[in-house]
Amino acid sequence: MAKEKVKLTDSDIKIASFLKSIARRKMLQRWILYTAWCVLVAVILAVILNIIAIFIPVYNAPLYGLFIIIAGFIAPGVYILIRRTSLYEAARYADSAGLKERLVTSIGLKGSDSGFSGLLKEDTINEIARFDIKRRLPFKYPYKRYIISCLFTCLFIICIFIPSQAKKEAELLHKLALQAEEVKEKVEEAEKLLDKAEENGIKEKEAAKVKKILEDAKKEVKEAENISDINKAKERLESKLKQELAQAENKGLIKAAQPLVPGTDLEGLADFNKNLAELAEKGGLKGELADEMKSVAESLTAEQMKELLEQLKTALEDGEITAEEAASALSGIENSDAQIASATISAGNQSSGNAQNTSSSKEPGSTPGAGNNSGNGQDSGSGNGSGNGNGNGSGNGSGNGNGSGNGSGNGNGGGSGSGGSGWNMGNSEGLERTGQEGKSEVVSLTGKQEGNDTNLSGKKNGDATITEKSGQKGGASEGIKADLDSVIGDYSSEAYAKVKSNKVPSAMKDIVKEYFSGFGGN
Amino acid sequence: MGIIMADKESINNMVSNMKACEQEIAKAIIGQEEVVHEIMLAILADGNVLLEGVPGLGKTQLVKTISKVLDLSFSRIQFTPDLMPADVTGTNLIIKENGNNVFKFEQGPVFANIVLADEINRATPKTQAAMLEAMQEKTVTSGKNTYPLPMPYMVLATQNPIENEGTYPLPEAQLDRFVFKINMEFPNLNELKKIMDITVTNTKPVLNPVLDGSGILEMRELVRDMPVADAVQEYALKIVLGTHPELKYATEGIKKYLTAGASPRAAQAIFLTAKARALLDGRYNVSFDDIDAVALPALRHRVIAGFEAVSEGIDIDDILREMIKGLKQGL
Repeated sequence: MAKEKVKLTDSDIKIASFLKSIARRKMLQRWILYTAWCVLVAVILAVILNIIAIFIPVYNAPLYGLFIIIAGFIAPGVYILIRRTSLYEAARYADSAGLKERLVTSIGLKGSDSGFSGLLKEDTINEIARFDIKRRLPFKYPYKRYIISCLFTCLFIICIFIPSQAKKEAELLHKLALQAEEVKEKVEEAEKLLDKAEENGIKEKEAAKVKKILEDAKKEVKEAENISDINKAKERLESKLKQELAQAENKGLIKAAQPLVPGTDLEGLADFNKNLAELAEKGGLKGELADEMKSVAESLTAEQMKELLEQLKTALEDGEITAEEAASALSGIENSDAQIASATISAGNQSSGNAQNTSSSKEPGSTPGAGNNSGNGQDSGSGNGSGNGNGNGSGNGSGNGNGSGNGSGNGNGGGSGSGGSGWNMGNSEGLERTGQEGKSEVVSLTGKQEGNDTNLSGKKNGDATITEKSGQKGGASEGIKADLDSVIGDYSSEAYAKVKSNKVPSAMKDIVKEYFSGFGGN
Repeated sequence: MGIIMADKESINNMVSNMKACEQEIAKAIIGQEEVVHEIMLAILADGNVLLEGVPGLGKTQLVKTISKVLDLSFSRIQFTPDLMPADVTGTNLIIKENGNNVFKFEQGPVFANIVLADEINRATPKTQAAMLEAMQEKTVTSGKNTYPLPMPYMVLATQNPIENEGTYPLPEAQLDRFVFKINMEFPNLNELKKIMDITVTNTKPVLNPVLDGSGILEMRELVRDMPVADAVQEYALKIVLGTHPELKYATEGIKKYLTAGASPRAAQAIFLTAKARALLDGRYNVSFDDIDAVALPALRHRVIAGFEAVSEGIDIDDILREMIKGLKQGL
């Protein structure tokens, strides 16, 4: 039933005006009381949160605590604004201060001034005039709650400054989450473009391949347990994409994947590879050199690739591009990988005179590693190699033999070549040389300890050309010197444990087992 | 709105008349101001009053004084076990009228403005029941005829709380017809001294009538017109409901000690007497305090104490006070 609108009399208006001021006062009083309660509860919660954060990783606990306290201040205000004091409540409030239900009765008689209504309202207005709001309805301040709140605030501040392992872990976990999120976002963005493959002029088959890589990357990121896992997953994703897209002609596909490989100009790389292939076709560039160039190009800028191509073209003018010319061309590029490759080619060229060398010596080597690493490897290789290795970083300290570096991964499998156990700290994965005969398998493993990853792929089809390298100019960073016998047991056990997972292809399991059994590991 | 329009002057007159009545009564009744005030409220609420107190407290004197001050007809019935209903209400007598024998109703002592039913619990229930119609409907039925009682009409009954031998406790239906049950307290030393001054000397107080019957009837109209706020009304009703141990408003004390609660007549009694109290206080609305003040006398005779209350010697007033306190805190 609709409420009938009553015409207010003068008395009603006077009473209503008084009630409005009472309502404001009551709201203020409620705010004072509620705020004291809410702030106390909020501060206690903030303290509890920060105490928990000392023992259990909670990222940004002080900030959340601060938010809770601020919410404790804001919430009562919002509540009071939403649930405003009505005139009826104000009337009850003032009546309780000595007006003896005059107001509450008066507002029930709105619109009437006859008989008792008129007499009552007149009486009420007289009482209102004598009513000293400040004296009859003084504000009540909950001092006890204020004091307790202050004490808990002090405790909150103290908790913030108590250092703990959990707090450090929380920071790390947060970084991990951020990185994972970043990778996931980029992957999802790329997936979106791939989902609309036809619109972007991408072939379904190509899109499916890249999508598979992306899905694998997402899965790895999801399963990552620490920042290192994420970084590895990221690197693997970049490597796979580079490999997959290095020769792609589809611009849409490259565009979709480009954000995931920020350091590399995929389009430029594809163009470079195309030009390089043309050079090779013209007969001016040997397969191994071309492979090296392709490998180096992955870390070059568009200008550098252009410059390298120009130099190669110049070198081609007088016939076949020799290793010296290639090394010279690379040395002219201001890029560390190019410099290393240049040196490697030069060294490879020198060692080519010793091709067909059958190394079976286990005598200690005498070539010190240029890096800071320390290996204790023993050469047990027997491969015949004349190719050019690209070992990054497996220097040999007191041991002899050649460290087969894992860095940018150019080790060609198949042979049981140099088995120097110089553990590098370089990249954890190798890239398959697609230009060589046969197809290698790129195996990506998560959870490897940094620097100990031997995740290299080799060609499956044997007869590989082994590159023996002296390890000079190895690009590895610091290594740790340790006796092989003292660590091989641990390494092999860990490796065997890891490869038991279903995630590791059986081919890879065999490689790992074979590798470690070569050291006498169990 | 009633017949009498509420105006400030008439209300002021009424208030001053009632205060004058109380002052006049105080000449003959020493102390007992609260009892007198409550009886005045009952008069304005058109109700009957049950006075309970030990003998010699001046119950009969009080009723006589009130009738004198109010200038109303007064009759006294001394209730005894052999008193018959006809002795109270009157009876049909055969009389000769113009040579014919006709029945004529001879009015009993109940036909007066103020009836003092002295020691009402000494009469048999049959005789007590003779008062029911008079108290509620203000009429007396004899044979086929119903006779109206003079207005204003009021029964003031007395009973002795300590002499229970040879008494017939009033049934609930009868008790419910009393708007108030007022307990008369024993006077203090000063009051007793003043009582002696006027009772054992030749100095007799001279009582002047202050009001008359029509004035009382007008006041009753005014009282009924007084507004009551919803919140106050709700509070009064919750008090009545709170006396019922089976209802949600009942406190633990009520549930434990009472077996039956008050009837709706209790709510009527509370409302009317609270209005009268507010008016006599010079206000035009009923407050929570008015309700609290009249709740006890209006309820104490309407609830039935259980075995535990009787065995533990717990006073019904204490149980009710506790319940009212609880409800007030919830306001």
